[in-house]
Formats: sequence, C-alpha cells, structure tokens
Amino acid sequence: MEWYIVLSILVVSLSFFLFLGLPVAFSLGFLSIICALVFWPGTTGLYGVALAGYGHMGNYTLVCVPLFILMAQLVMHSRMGTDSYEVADRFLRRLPGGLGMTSAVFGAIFGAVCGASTAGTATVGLLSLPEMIKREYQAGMSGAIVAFSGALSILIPPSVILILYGTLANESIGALFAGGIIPGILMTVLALAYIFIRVLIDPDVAPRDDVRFTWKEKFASLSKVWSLLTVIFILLFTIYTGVATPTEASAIACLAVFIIAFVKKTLDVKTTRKALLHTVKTTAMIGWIIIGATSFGYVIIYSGCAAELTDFVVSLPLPTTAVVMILMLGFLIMGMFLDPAAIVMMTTPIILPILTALEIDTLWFGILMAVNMCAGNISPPMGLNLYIVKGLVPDKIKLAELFKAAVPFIILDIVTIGLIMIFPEIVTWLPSLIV
Amino acid sequence: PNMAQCKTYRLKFQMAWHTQHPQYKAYKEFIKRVKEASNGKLKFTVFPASQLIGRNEALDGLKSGTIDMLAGCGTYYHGMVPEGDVDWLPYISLNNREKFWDYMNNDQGGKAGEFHDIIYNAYLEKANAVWLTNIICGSSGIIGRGNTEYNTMESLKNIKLRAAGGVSTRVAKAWGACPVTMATGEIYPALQRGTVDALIFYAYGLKDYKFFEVAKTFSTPPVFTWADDLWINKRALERLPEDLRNTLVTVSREWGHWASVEYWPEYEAENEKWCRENGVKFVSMDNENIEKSKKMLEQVWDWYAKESPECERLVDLIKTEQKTWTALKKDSGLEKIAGLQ
Amino acid sequence: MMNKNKGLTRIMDGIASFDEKLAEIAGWIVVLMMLTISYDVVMRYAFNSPTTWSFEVNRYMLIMVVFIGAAWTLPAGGHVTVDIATERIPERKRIVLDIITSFMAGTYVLIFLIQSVVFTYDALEHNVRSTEYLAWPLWPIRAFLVVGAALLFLEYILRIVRNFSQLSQTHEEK
Ligand code: NA
Ligand code: NA
Repeated sequence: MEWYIVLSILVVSLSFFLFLGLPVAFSLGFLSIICALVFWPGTTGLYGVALAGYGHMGNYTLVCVPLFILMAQLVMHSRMGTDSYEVADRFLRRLPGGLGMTSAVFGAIFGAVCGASTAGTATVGLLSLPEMIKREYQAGMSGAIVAFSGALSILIPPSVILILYGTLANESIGALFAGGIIPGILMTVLALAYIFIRVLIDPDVAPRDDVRFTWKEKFASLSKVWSLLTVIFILLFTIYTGVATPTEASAIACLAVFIIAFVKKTLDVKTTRKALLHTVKTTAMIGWIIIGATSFGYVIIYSGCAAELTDFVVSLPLPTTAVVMILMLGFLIMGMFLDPAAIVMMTTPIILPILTALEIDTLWFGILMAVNMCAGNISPPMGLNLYIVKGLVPDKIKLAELFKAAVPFIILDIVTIGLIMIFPEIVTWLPSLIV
Repeated sequence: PNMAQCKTYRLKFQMAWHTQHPQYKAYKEFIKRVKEASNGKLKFTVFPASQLIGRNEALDGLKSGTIDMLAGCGTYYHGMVPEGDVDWLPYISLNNREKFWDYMNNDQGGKAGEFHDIIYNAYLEKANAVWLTNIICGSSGIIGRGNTEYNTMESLKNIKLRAAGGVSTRVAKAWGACPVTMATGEIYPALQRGTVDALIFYAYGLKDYKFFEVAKTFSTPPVFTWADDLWINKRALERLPEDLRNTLVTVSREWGHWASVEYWPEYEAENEKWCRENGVKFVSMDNENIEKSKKMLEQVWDWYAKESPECERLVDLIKTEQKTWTALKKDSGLEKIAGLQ
Repeated sequence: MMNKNKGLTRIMDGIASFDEKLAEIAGWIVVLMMLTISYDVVMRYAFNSPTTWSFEVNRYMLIMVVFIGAAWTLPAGGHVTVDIATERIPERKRIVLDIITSFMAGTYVLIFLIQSVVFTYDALEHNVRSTEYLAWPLWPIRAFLVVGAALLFLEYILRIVRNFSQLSQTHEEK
C-alpha cells in the first residue's frame, strides 16, 4: 500500500478515536497496538510497541516534570502565586487583558529555567488559570494564552529540543541557545500585542474594571512578591552559576518553596496532601501520554510513512525559500499529531543532507524548527500543551473553545517564522556576538 | 533459477548512532559490502539514532523480534549480558587494537576461540541474539574544562568528574575523583558553568557535542576505547537461506576488522587534527602516571571479574593473552610501548 | 438489584480509596525525589562528595510515580479526553459510548499489562540488572509497570460494570 494511504488511515483513525472520547494517551496506545498487529508478523510487534515508552520514562531530564509541577502547586497553595498575581493585578488591572499579559511574561521568564514545554505549561497554568477564570476571563482564551506561554520554554534556553537538534545537526548548542533568546522575546511581545488588541476589540474576552490603585498601593504590594522572586532567583542562580543542572535546580527551587511556605506558615498537611495528589495526577497523565506518543511514533517510523513523507517534501524541484516554506508546512502538519521531540529526532537526520546541499544555515533552521514546534505544541488535534491546560482545569474549559482560541496564537508563531525568514539576523545576531 | 533464489530479504536494522556519527558512516560501508556480496538479495531498512526502541531497551526488542538487527555498545546491556562488556575494561586494548580484535573475534572454536565463544554464547542464551562482530572504536580519555590539564593522578584527585555510570563511574572512583552523573544533554552547560571539572568521554565528543567551545584539553592515553557490537535476532538469521546467512556472517567479520583497525584509527587522527585546529590541547600522561593509574584501576578489573563466573574466566584469559602481546612487542624492539601494557 | 449494586458500590469504593492511598504514596515519592536531588547537589557543591545513587534512584522513582499513580488518575479525571462530541449527546448514548471507549482503553492496558509481565519475568529469570553504578536487579522496578497497568485495568473493568449497571437503571426507569 502507498505510504500516503497508510498515513491517511492512521490520521483518520486517531482523530476518530479521540472524537469518541477515548483519552489521548489510550487513543495513541490503542491505535499503536492495532498497527503492531498489522505491520509486524504475528504478535512480534506488540512487545516493542507497548513498551516503547518505558525508556523515555526512565529519562533523567523528565525528573524535573513532577518537581516543577509540585513547585507550582506549592506556590499556588501557599499564596505565593496569588500574592504575585495581586501585585500584577495592581500594576496591570487597568490594561486590557492584564492578567493574560502577565501569564505571557511569566511564561517567558519561567522558560529561562525550564527546558520542556510540558513543565512550563503546567506551571504557568497552575499559577495563572485559576486567577484568570476567577476574574471571568474567557476560558478558551485563558487556556490558549497558557498553552502559548508554556511553549516558550522550548525556544527560550535551556531547551531540550535545541539540545537534541544541536546534537543531531552538529550545531553549537551554545549558539543555538543564544539564537533562541530574541525570537523568544519577539514571540512574547507579539502575544502581548495580540492580547492588547484583541481585548480592545472584544472587551468581553477579559473583563476590565475601573478600580484604581495609587502608586503607593502599587509599590506597597511589591513586598508580597519577595518570596516568589526569591524562588526565581534561586532557580536562575543555581543554574547560571553552575551549582546545579536545570533538572537539579527544579528540586532545589521546590525545596525552597517548601521552606519559605513553612517559615511563613502558609502550608498545612491538608494542603500539602492536595498539592501532592495533583502533582501525581498530572505526572501520571503526562507519563501515559508520553508512553502512547512514543508507541505511535514507533509505529509511524517503522511503517516508513515518516521517511516517505519527508522524502516527498524535500524532493520537490523548487527554490530554497520555497523548500524551507514547505518544510515548515510539513513540520506544522506533523506538529498537529506528534510529539516535538519525536519530530526532531526523526526528521533532522533526514533533512540535514538537504540543508547542506542547499547551503541553508543550520543554526537559523534549528530556531525556525523550534518556533514551529511551539506551534505544534498548541495545534489541534494533538497539541500536547492544550491537553495539559485542559487537564489542569477539566471542568472549566471545553476543548472546542480551547482549539478555537489557540488558532490566533498559532498564527503568531507563523508570523514569527515569517519574520525570521525575512530577517535572519533575529536569530544570528546574538550568537555572532558570543562565538 | 527458481523463485527462492530470486527472492530478496529485508532486515529491520536499528542503530544507536545518528546519521552524522562516525560509526554510522562505518555502517554505510557495511551495508554496501553486504549488498555487493549478496548481489542485492539482502537489504536493510535502517533506523538510526535509536529511533524505534529506546537505546537501553533495544536488546530486549531484538530478543523479542520487534527488530531484526541491532548495532550499539555492549556496555549498554551490561546488566543483561555482563560478558559482552569486557572490551570496555581500562587499558584492555591499549596499543594492541588489532591483536585484541583478532583475539576477541576468533570464531575458530577450541582453546584459541574460548574468549569469543563465552561472549557469543552469553548473547545467544540471554538475548536470543547472534553476535556478528565487535568494533573497537574511539579513544575515551579525560576532557578538561577550560585550559586545565589532567595528566597526573594527583590532578584527578577530588575533581568533579562526569562519568556515565558502569565502568566509567568505577574508574572515576578508583582514581579518587568525585564521579558526577548527568544526562549527556546537560554536559555542555555543566562544563560551561563549572558544575563539573572534567569528564571521561571519547575524543570526538569535543567536535560532535561541541565541547571544544568550553573544554580545551584532552588527556591520553585512552583509559578505554569504546566499542560497538552488531547482533542479529536468532530467528531472523535462521529465516535467511543458507548462502545469505553465510554472506552476512562473513561480511560482518571482515567489515568489523576493517572498521576496528583501519577506519577508526584514521578517523581518530582526523578528529585530533580538527580538535587541534580548534584550540584543543592534547596532553599525555607519563609512564609513571600510567603505571600508577593501572594499579589504581585494578579494582575495576576485580569488580568485573566478580560479575559472573564467565566474566572471571574472560579476565583470566585476556590477562594471559596480553602477556604474549608484550613478549611479541619486546621481540620487535618496541619496549617503550610494551611498557604501557 | 439494589443489593447487588450496594455490594458493587462497596467494592468500588474500596478500590477507589486504595488507589487514592497509592497516589498519595506516589506524591510522597515526589517529595523524596526533591530531597534526594537537593542532598546530592549540596554534597557535591559544598562537600565535594556527590552521591553515586541519586541520578539512578530518581529515575526509578519517576517510573514509580507514573505507574502507581496511574490507576487513581482515571477516576480522578486526570486522563485528558477530547470532549467535542461527547459533551453534546444525551446521557444514555454517552454511557454506551463510554462503555465502547472503556473497552478500547481496557484492551490496550491489558496488552500493556501482558507485555509488562513478560518484560518483568524476563528480568527475573535472567537476573537482569541495571547497567549503571548501582547494578540493582531490574525486576522490582519493572514490576511497577505490572502493578500500575493491573490496577488501571481493574479501574476500567469497574468503569464498564458501573456503566452497564447505570444503563440497566435508566432502562428500568423508562
Ligand atoms: Na527553556
Ligand atoms: Na501538536
């Protein structure tokens, strides 16, 4: 059977299972199991396909996922989160969509200490979603802002995606990290602009009120954020002075939150228990999605569909810019269905010879790819971040709303891709100063 | 010619190596040789970079038949088949790359082939895998952060030395360094910011992982030379007609020898040149320090010998065998190198 | 009918509270991860004597958290679903659909369970150990896959049974 027929069948089946209401993790798993029986002789495929995710689960860099979630849970329950939102509120309440803007900025700052979009989204979401919902922000919009802000973690260094790409493409990781900074800031600014304009046009999205705070009140509130600032400082300090790796820093920051909460007496056993249960729930959910996605990735790669699709895309007789645009389109489509790390792992080795042949700068292309993966993380039907957002507040947000609200943010990602294609200096300028 | 003779066979072949990895390039040659020798009747679908099944679970996948062929380091599967990890012992093939390969891959049976047979049988019994060949690859030495040189035993004392578990962590401990474990992806920033002082790593990691940007020294001689192995699932091999089976076995061996004694030494020389051009300084230990290091690392050999009765036998065999190499070297007047044994 | 339902309810409550206890244990494992990693960093940075076990043990603890927390995550509504279609249809149809999807998920989890048993038994039979420094036997760690998948499978069985019972109730009401 032709590869595109196989691929279509897989995509349609997956969409159908999801539509039926089968959980994402098990839709991926169930489809992979069927494929294991079809593609492999007898039952020989079942073992490898079912257990494909085990290796990922034992990956040390994922250890930071429950720790960042727990940290965010504790920040939320120990009033550190609400305190800092109160401050943001005092400064930004009069701005259209102020809390949404705060989430985007916080997402960018948190991205500077977090390497994976899952932990980023969970943290930003835990801190900001309850507040935005409390202030009657439109649920879909709030969720989309969080999903977008969480995705900034894979563009702003440190980034697991960039490390994977740099290793495979033989590109300097230091240069890649530097290259991600300006595009990350650019995307944050674009998001702020979009929220601002959107709320001006459609005020119901984010209700404003006319309560005015004096400058005295604004600055007095600053005393409330010292605890959160301390945590962020500890995170940045331990990482950038070499005391600990980013994974280890997640544990230290988490411990710092525990200690601060203990000193301030804002955490009791009951709340801790609640935070722990929530951490386990989110970690198990993310874990099973990784298991399902790995199995599905296994099947797609084994079937040869992934390689054929890439071959097809790169073999078209077109100018370089058009090829890059087509690659970006291909990544966007793949991003709708697959895990970003899986996409990078599977396509980089195949695309690299083409980049070399067409003399495309691999640093520039790597950042384009990372921006694209940000879009993939928030694109339906398989945008991981959207499901994490949904998982954080299952009763408050409907997926249909979330999918709809995510579209403008995907367009922001595409605009960023366009800007980087027209002005490569956005990526290359900062690394050129360092190397 | 009947149908069976015209039929082509395709094997699903996973490698731990990504497409830019030097060992992947060696496997390109392997695939070319198999194609020529089998008149195109034996083909591979290659999955680089552990694309299908995680690196550490790949031997399990091979065992169950989810993949047909596997290339990766035997050391990844030390916990399953410790016998296959013998080639990573400190200094085991130092200055005797070819002799060691010939000894390890001697499939003629009997007394001379005992070393090979122990490993071969261990893979067959524990992993349902036929061990096709072993490839002695790149030098693993000490990459030092900044411009710090680690060429004496004294300089290694109490430093934070990143080691990848298994043998290398034990080496670090035996030297009196503080072994630090961290994911490969975290090494670069850790070197940059001083979370670690140095690491035990292969020399081309300087280029491959861009460590040369933040670490400027590489210390020789290699404490061990990392090695790759090639296996095929037993049933997958049995499914092939006899002529193809023989072709695959023969080509694997010849190619393994070529990769170990021609390809890798050449690649290492090239890599060293590249590293020097990019500001990396290659420092070496003097004989006194090498002897000291060997003495310190005897405990690593002792640890390995205790892994299983077969491991103990392997250690006995190789120690005896090494003496004959020394004798030969002395005969040919290479006392200086023999001193490194 | 009523008695049977009561018995069923009791069993289900029992399992639910057991799974929640496990999830709570998993939560304390996360705290243990936090403490051990912090300890390792302090020992390395301040005392220049990092542990040789933290890296490996924390990876095992992550596996434990994911698997022993998996069963409770289902009734707790943690496994995300696409609710575009399901939130619009009448209750009876939704129950039928839930039975179908539970069968699908249950089938997957059962196959995962069987393969995990093979995986674990293999480690036990051949004394497979970790390839890293600790060289621990791997079967107890892999056994968490078996336990987690078994409990999750049980949760799905209960969910199917409960759905059928609800279905017969709504039928009687008619
Ligand atoms: Na980041
Ligand atoms: Na996506």
